[in-house]
Amino acid sequence: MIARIPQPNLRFVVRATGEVKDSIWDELDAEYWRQADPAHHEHNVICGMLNRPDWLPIFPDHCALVGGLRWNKDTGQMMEGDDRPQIFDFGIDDLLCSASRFFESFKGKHLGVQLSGGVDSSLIIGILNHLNLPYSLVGMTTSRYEFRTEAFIQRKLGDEAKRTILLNFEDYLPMTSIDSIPSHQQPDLSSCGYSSNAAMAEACNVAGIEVLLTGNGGDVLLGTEVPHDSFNWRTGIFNDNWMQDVVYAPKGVELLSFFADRGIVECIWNMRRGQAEDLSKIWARKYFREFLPAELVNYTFKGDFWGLYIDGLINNLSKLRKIHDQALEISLNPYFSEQNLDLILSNDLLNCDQRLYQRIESRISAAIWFVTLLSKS
Amino acid sequence: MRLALGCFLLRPDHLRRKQKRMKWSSLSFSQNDHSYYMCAWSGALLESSGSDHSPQLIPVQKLKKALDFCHNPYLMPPSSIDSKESLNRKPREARKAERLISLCRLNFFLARQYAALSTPIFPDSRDAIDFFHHSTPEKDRSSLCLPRSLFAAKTSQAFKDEGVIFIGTFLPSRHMHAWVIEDGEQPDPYDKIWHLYKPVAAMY
Repeated sequence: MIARIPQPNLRFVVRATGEVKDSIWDELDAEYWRQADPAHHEHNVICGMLNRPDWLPIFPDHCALVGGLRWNKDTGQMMEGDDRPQIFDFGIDDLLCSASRFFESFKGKHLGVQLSGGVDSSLIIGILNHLNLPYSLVGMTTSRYEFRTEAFIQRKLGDEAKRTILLNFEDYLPMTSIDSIPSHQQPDLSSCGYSSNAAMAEACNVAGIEVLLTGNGGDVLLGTEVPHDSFNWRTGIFNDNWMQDVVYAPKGVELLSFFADRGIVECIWNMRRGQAEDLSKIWARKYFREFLPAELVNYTFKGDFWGLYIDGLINNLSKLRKIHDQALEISLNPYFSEQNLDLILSNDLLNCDQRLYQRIESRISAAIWFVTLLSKS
Repeated sequence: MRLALGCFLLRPDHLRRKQKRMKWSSLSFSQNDHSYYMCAWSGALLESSGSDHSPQLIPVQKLKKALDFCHNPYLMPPSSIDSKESLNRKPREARKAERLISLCRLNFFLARQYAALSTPIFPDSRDAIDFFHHSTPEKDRSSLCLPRSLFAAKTSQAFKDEGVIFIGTFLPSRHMHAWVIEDGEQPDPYDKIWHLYKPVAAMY
């Protein structure tokens, strides 16, 4: 029998009937995993989170029902929910009220914030400071040249927290320790970032942090174009449900995005209605200046994760090959043939090619799914 | 060749002084048991195994100061995008920009030599770079970092005393980028990536 882990944030729709199931563990035990299509997983990864309705089902009879998606009985396909907020004249006080209500829901719990050194997590910390609420900080840090501005902010904000835990990113690069991932119900791209999150979850557990807030979604809320009268934010993707269920929940930690909160979304959408794309978040830096370190108000420096991705892949290549071979042995699916892997790895891995890395990461996350599912039975 | 030399000899002293070679400083560094250098002739990034690199003394105050700004970007004044349309009417300068683009494609060393023939027409690199941006297609912006920086060095009056061109690399990708630091600022408001690159060579 496959070792099961609760994944309450992942449900499945039976395509033939529209019935919603809490899990497909029983089906997987009955060797339903043989029918999983890793090529569809790769298609979905390349499609991206913003095009989830175009995703292809990994299993022939079920569709995964994850944050924000709904099943359309008429078309027999997934669709994004339409959660357009009401139009109000919002100001900074309304945002603070919404934030206060959000934090109130965790009253009595040890609150943590994932400290990246960027604008999004710094804004959460600034609002917590403004509301005089206690919190701890947990984050990954690195001495890489391209992250020196983030490291500066991490040091600065770290001094203000109740407790700050900064882990060395070099010890937890992407693709590291992926053979330690628990079995899960379907392949997920997030599994490539397991190592750093497992380390942060463990750190939270040791420090007694019960809720860890992330800045996920800040790029969308504070950086994308906001049409005056339409709402196109996919807030359902701001929470990393796989990471929450598979990595943080087993350590007793709730992982939540501050920017996924309905009240916060509503405020920022109304504040930014009619604004053009603002990738450097100039508006947010000025508007929230009293909550941010001066360096983030006056400068737009931003680190780049490519170096970490590349080193993570290259450092773990031999292990990844082994996992890929195991996936072929288990699944007998020609998708995992050695030639296919060689073909993809024959590309220039140093060239920061996003499409190439999407193909590699989807392949690896599919392989690790097969391997963990069956080796941890 | 003789004619060209003749022209050079006939030039007045103050112009002849400006035709010095642009100085080159290697800022080689070691990382993960590898040393990284840049070839002054070809512009290629060279790598050798082993950490045989020893910290370099940087004797020139201007370079030392500019390098400090690269390492500590928060020490710089914040930059803003302020376009000056009036600068967009200098056909001769536009030809220099085009020539530098061609030379950079042809030969790194020749491009450096051409840029060293200083013809300062803009007060500073900010204006020179702004002009360059207006003279070249926006879609090519990221790939023209080297000719843009050399153009600033060639045409900015302030560059000689206050400016340094840096060439940096983003490891482990080997991607490279060039930018200017002049008088304590990075004068290209559209360049949002310079801080990601670790300097491996400087020209001034």
